[in-house]
Amino acid sequence: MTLALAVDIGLTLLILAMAAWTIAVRDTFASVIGFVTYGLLLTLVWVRLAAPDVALTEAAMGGGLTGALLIGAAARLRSTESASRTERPSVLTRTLAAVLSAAVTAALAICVLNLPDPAPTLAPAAAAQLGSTGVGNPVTAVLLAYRAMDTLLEAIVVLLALVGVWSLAHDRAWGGYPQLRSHADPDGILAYFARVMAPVGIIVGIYIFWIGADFPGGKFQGATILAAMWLLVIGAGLAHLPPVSQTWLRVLLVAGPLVFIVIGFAGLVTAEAVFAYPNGYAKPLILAIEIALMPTLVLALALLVAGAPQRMPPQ
Amino acid sequence: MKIALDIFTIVAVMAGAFFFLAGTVGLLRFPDPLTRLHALTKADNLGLGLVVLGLLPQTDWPLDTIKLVTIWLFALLAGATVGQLMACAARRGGSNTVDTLLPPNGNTVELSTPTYQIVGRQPFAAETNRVPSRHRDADLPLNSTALHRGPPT
Amino acid sequence: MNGPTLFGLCAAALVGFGLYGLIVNPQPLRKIIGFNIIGSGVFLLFGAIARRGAAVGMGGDPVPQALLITGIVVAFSATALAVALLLRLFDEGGLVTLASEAPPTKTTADPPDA
Repeated sequence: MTLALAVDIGLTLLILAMAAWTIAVRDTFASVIGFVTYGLLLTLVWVRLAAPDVALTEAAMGGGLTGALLIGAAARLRSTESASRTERPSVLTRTLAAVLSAAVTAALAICVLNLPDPAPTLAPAAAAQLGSTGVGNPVTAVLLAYRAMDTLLEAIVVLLALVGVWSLAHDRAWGGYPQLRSHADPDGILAYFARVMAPVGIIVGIYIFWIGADFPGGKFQGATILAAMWLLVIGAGLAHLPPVSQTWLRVLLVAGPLVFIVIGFAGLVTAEAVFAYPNGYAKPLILAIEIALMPTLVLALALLVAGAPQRMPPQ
Repeated sequence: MKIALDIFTIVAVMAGAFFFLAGTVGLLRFPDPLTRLHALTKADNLGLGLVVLGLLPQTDWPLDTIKLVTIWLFALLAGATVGQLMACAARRGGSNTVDTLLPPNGNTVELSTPTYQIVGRQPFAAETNRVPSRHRDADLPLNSTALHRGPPT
Repeated sequence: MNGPTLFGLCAAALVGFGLYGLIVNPQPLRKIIGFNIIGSGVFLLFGAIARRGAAVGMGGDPVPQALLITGIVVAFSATALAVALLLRLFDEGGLVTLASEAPPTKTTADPPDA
């Protein structure tokens, strides 16, 4: 047994223990904290699986934004905790659930042990065309050139989720301010931290975005960091979220996917297919799409965490 | 020279790992939020610092070196801030300092009811009749294990 | 046994854990967490398969890796929508339950943990 495998086994056991604890612990708030820890451990697994791009996404999304979202929800729902404990299912239900879960696990495990060898891979194909896209990071090339359609649909899904969240507002708060509001002392430690951290965080976010063309990173990871910085500044009481009916907000939210669609369909004219880039212009077009998507993603991710509007818009 | 730097790396990283271990033991064993925070922030900052210090000879000057040191500095800053916020919340009991990223009505019963008081460091007698074992791992300020029902203030 | 196989088996177990939590935990927020654990298990399985596709100097097959990034972002969006639905349910009735009959109004509060 090599040292690397020993590390992997230790990591696996830690993750399984964390997942089991997250499921089993009685207190919901503790479960949320467990889930955040679990997400951070998963980040280490992505590094071990040679997927640093995924690791960055998991750390920013799985640990960071999802954690903030769930902590907020758990704190608000805390008063319902004791009531729902009485709903615990019967022993029979739990036994059946355990049997079903074990069966699913066993089926998946059999599949894992019988995966084809040698493994099918698209890596050579991705590498062969990398030069024509002008980007050095194959994952970015997949996201914005080979399978740009997926990325477009993803951006639209994020937007649709945001529309869904906004549509859950009360009539009286329709188009108003999301609930995220600060109670922090404007001269307190959090405000100080936000003042120091936010400028650096913005630079780090843009750096991660920019370097994604050639190294691990990219717009999703960068946008998550920028969204987190915005939420930090708001949480520290140094800024306010805009009401969701603001025109500039909605324009920026739609601009990213719109630019993506326009450039994609322009491929019909300038190149031979939808989402094909004309020769020699791939890199600038990819950059244009990414720059247009950035504000969309930053705003959408932050507003997804902030939740449905809760207060009236200004008359 | 190379050997000496490698030995330095090994010693420093192991020393850092020791502080992580000590901090974790403190987190699990100390009786209340304030002492646990003490264990966590002190040991983690020092532990991470030693790990970073140990890795410095292995990095490319200047960009990677600066990145590593920056990571440590931000971990220090974030750790100190969060530690301060959690300690504030735990000490006041009714504070909403920790709630700044939570919704306005996210104040929980345990946090907002003034009939709960923080019992400071009342170690062992208190430990025997509270802190159910399932809570040992996750004692956050929002958690009610550290709060005793006290007279209304 | 090698790294990708080990993490593939870990992923299979995570899907099982998440499914059990999804079924057994009564609180909707816990179900959301369980669902996220299932999701991360599926992602991890996909990631292990991507790692097996390492070739031409790449650590893994970049196509599944890019789809994983897409998947994680979509999973976050879905979680945010689910949490918003849950909070709206809470705002409506003050109680959050998926039971077909709402439990009787609580008269005695559970004793605090202290």
